Amino acid sequence: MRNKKKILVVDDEDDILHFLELVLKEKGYDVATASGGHEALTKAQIEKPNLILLDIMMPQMDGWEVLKLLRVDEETFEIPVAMLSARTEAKDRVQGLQEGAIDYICKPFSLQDLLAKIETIFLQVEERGKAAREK
Amino acid sequence: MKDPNPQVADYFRLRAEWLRFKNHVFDASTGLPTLAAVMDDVRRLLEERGSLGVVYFDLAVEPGREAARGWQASDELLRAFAQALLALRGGGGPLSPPDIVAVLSVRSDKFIVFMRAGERGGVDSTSMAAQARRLTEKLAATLPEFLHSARGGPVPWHEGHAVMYRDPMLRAERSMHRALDEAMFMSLTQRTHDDDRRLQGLDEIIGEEEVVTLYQPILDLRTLDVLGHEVFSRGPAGGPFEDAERLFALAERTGRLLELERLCRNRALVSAPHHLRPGTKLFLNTSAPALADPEVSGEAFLRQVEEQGLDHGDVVLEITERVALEERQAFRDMLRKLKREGFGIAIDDMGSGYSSLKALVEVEPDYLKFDISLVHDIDRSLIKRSLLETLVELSAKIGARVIAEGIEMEPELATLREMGVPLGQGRFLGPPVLVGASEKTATP
Repeated sequence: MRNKKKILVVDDEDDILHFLELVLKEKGYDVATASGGHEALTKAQIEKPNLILLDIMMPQMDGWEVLKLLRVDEETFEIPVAMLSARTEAKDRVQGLQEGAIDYICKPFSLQDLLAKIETIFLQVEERGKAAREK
Repeated sequence: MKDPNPQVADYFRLRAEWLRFKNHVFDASTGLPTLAAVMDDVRRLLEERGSLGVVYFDLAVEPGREAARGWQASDELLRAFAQALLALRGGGGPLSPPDIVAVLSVRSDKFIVFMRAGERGGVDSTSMAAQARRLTEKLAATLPEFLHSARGGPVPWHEGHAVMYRDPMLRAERSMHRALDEAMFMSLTQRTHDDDRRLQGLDEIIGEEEVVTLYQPILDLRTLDVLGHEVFSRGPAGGPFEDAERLFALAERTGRLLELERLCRNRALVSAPHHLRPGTKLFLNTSAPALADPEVSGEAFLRQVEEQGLDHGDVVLEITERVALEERQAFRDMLRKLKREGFGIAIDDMGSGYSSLKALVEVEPDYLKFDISLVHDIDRSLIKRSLLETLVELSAKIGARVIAEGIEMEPELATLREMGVPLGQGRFLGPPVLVGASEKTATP
């Protein structure tokens, strides 16, 4: 049996966090949650998720900084991160590219889109891993 | 979600602060510590040795270069430089393991080496000068190819050095900063000296009309037919201005951009009848000030184009995104006027400014060029792909065709074709080729 993939969801809005946790568990993923940037950094280290869904607009420490700091820690720097953002932010700020986010997902998103995106990301990560091993 | 208990929250905060701190004392892209992180090691080494040599390397990555090639290229450059420096610490090189290599601060393009210079005893300024020269020569010899030639010309870097002494009356940090100031000053003097020499070179190029013209094909990605050529101009091969970015950056800084652009434009237009296949287009790079140049905005330009047997529709003026979106009404009017005359308008470097589409629509461009940072490795990046998909869609809505620049590899091309990107350009499709280097401008 293949290992369950674990996803860390980071958002300061409890409703979204709850909703995503429910849906992703339903779809057979392991889910960890963090309601802020500080918590996300520790959870990423402890839980070693296969993917982080990271909200951009958060108080105290925003998603961009979390993304940058994840790259500073050897234990978390390889974890793929997809940014969750309001549509308008995504258009203007493609910084995610600069710090190496793997994708961005615009809010509001449809469930199908989100799940499809997650699947594609996992596929791509696998392919990349294969390519790296072949090298 | 319940709030985590206060102790846990404190732990989260502490860890975040630690990462933040680490992020400021270690440079993630080169893996080198910053000056702040090595202060105490330097102090210890100084106390142990009595004197230490400081060598300062300034890569001076030009902002224009980064804007044109993307931040990845700059990161790669700095990383290569850092690795070359570190490699000199092993195997009997001019440096040895206790010597300290650091960056000035996070993501800086300035590197600092603290070296013991000599097995026993201290250093003086004479022996330090010799050591620094040796280090610089060794470094130049081991640096990867792209740092001194290839890909758009060498990156200029400058060296400065100084000696710091242990002085019981001074804080060690103080003498360190003093020596560092001295080394920085020396490298800066070198840089200005180089600038002066280059300025003379620029005079020569403009005076003797020494620019070289190159054509790079732009292809229809569906049929792989040639749509047209972008014209590049640069200084003579082997000279310091083989790097076009450097040539234009210097001309701009010294107020000679208009002259230089006139020369390049004349050259490009004169070459067209000999080298441009009928029915294909000429993409001319044009800066914002050049658009206001009477030689472009006035009758002279029309005449010049017609004299070469070109239709207005054969000429596409290529301007950069930043320029295209300037608020100035006059500038937009100018673009509209050129469009009315039948010239094409292309916006270059799209995606580097990430600006609002509304402003773009008002310019009514015929082509939008997406730059290398968006195309590079597109076959492997979801985020780039989805971004480009959206942009192709939007471009079609405003009636502009997308040109993907910087296609270097087959998988990139395959992905772009699959995505339905209409036009492309890049080394893989055809590198810039020299044309009519010898043809001088016809005197009017």
